[in-house]
Amino acid sequence: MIGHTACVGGSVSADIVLNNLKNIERKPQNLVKALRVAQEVKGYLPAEVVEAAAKHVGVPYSRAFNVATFYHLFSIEPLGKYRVFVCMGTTCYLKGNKENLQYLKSLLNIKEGQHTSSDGLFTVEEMRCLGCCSHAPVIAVYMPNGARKVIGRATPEVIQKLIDELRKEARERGWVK
Amino acid sequence: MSWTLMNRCCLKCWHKPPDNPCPNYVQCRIKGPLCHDDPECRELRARRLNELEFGRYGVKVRVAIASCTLAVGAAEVYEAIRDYVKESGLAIDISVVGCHGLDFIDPWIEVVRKGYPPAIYANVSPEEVEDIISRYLSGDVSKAFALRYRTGNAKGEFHVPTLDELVFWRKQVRLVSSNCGLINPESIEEYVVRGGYLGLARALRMRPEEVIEEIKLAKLRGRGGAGFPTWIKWKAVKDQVSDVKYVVANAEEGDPSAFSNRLLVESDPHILVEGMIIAGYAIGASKGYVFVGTEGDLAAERLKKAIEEAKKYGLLGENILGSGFAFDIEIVQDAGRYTSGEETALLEEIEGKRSTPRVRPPYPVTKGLWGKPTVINNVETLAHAAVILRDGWDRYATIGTEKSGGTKMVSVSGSIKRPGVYEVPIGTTIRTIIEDIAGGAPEGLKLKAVEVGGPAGGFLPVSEINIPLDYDTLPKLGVAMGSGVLVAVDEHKCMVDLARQFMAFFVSESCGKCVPCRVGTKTMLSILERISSGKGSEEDLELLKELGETLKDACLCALGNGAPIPVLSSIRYFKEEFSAHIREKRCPAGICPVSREVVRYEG
Ligand SMILES: Cc1cc2nc3c(=O)[nH]c(=O)nc-3n(C[C@H](O)[C@H](O)[C@H](O)COP(=O)(O)O)c2cc1C
Ligand code: FES
Repeated sequence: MIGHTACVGGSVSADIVLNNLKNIERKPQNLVKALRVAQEVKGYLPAEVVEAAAKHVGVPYSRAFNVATFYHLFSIEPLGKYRVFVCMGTTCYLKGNKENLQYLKSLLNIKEGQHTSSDGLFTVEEMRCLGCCSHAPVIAVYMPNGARKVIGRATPEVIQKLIDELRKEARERGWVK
Repeated sequence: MSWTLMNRCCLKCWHKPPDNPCPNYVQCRIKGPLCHDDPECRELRARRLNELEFGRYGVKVRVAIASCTLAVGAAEVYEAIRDYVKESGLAIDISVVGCHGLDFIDPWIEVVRKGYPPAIYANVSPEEVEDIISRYLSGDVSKAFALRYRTGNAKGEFHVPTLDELVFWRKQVRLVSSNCGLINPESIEEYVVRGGYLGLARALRMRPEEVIEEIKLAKLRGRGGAGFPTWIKWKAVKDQVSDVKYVVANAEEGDPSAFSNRLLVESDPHILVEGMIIAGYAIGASKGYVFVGTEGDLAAERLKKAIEEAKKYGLLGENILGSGFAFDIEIVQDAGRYTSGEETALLEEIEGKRSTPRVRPPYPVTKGLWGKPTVINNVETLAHAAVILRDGWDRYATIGTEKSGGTKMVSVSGSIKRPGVYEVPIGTTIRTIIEDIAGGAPEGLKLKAVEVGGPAGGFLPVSEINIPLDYDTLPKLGVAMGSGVLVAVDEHKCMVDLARQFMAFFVSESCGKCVPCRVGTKTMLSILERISSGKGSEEDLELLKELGETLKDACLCALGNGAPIPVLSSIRYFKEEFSAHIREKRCPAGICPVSREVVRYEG
């Protein structure tokens, strides 16, 4: 488990993750599925969680780690409460999401090479194509409750409004001051 | 819940899956009753059909709910309608439908009332809802965007076009998308009313080899990119001797700017279910998997419902329609990787591993999922199979080209007036789609290029888009039909920058399994970055071409093989832009860092 983050922070314990895995049939082919659930429940995949998922479906930890570090949906590092995805698919790139991405990162004070805001609320990631290209540029937010919000025709104003709303929600929930 | 067409009309109906299913169950739903003659049963059906069309009270509002409409506020529109109906006490049914593909009118709604023209309203905001509905109910349709048909008695009716009068509708041939935007994707009943599962019912009365022959005569080719004749794949698996075989539907749709598969599955999931059962029957498989992309939550949700309902009424499961054939479908969702859409990598992921491509041969038709013979088809291909079996190959084959029958759903986006998904006969020229159907560039802009087919498709200059969209012509111009993507690029964009952006995509998505792809894409990207920053040389262009040719030949899968195409096609058709960066150290569009000084901020 060298180099793999141990469980830090977060309100969700490995037990709760295990509880959620219960509905998944115990067979190796369900590894990706188990990790998806774990990622969603825990918010990221620390060593304990990957191990729990591996055990649950009956594969070695090494194989689960191998899979956990391959797919874009998974992160073995802690992420912000809100995962904000900026689409860099062809249409969104052409329609201004490069500029939107810059704007978003400066708004959240996220430096070059970094992804998460210092208050731990937002992680900004690039992704390619949400399938709503007609309304490019598009951004998406994975909410802490697992819901996904897709926003078309994004502009700096739209982004600012979105971030304000999410910050307000986070304050109301007591995640930040 | 009240009686639906899927239920027994009276005690004489003996359809009882799976023990005693009626082979004529599907036909009987709307044409029945077939096994007995009873005016009351006929009347029951007629009443229900009417109710489906106009709602329980004679008025119905259809709200398009799909990923595209949701991204621009359809959920809020839906809520506004619900609130208005509740507060006003009006007797109106609200129903969810999928999407037409006319994305430029999102969010849209349709109001229908018996005896009046069904009216479609475009770009609806929650505030407008009340006005739209009350005007419509007063008999005034003048504010509508289009009518489905005329009845001649509504105010303003003749100032509003019908869909068929609109070029972007008229020039389409909607075979697989005919239900999209019209039916509730969560209602098997609405699918069946529009001829759903008739293809399956017909297939089950044929021998498997006859079904394959039908697909062959229809000249159906795979819509997932390569255009491989579907019947050859099916026959290869059918001829394998194996106790277990699989059908896999590829709904990954990982190509950036492709959204037609999403629209189809979200709007009409049953057509995929039907196509998969037909494929399973033809090849002798009893299990199917649908592989849905990471962003496919809504598609997966609607598919799940479709599978449940199909099972409930005996169209899926054991002894389907009394044929003795059994089939089941499971949904698997991707965890996010472009390679996951590649057929062998996809199998790896279903098996719970990293989605990296396998070395071929053996091909999936002999050793696929868990080493068993497997047919992998794109979801649109399978939907076409359902249409072919319903309509017969002879009708289907009259559409399309000599070598490739039928239609293709194309996703049009970018600098274009009417972005959306349009279903056109194969062989329709790109110009027809871009200019006539999608309306060309928005006011004040001029098109320069069209990206054709997806990331591995390539760019064509506008001067070359008079060519038919098909699997045979496009490769001659150095591009490919791919997944039917068309992205319009206007004159303010830089082709060097776009080629670089594409290469960056391939670098981040290369799975790393084979060296030519892993190293080759990185090397090509660094050369492109050199050129775009004004440090490139003429030799760099030669180097790009040489590397490109190597990648085309040497990679393990089509990701690496196709990666150079956007670059090579840009160099081929937009050499002067590359030269400007190399010789004059200038980016004509003012986008690349070589000319940072003149970069304009476009918010
Ligand atoms: C990198 C890569 C990504 C692909 N992505 C998809 C995809 O998202 N959807 C799809 O149907 N085919 C995709 N394909 C093509 C599939 O490998 C396969 O050819 C196709 O699903 C076969 O279906 P068809 O015969 O119906 O066209 C991809 C291929 C490659 C190399
Ligand atoms: S390119 Fe961004 S949604 Fe498709």
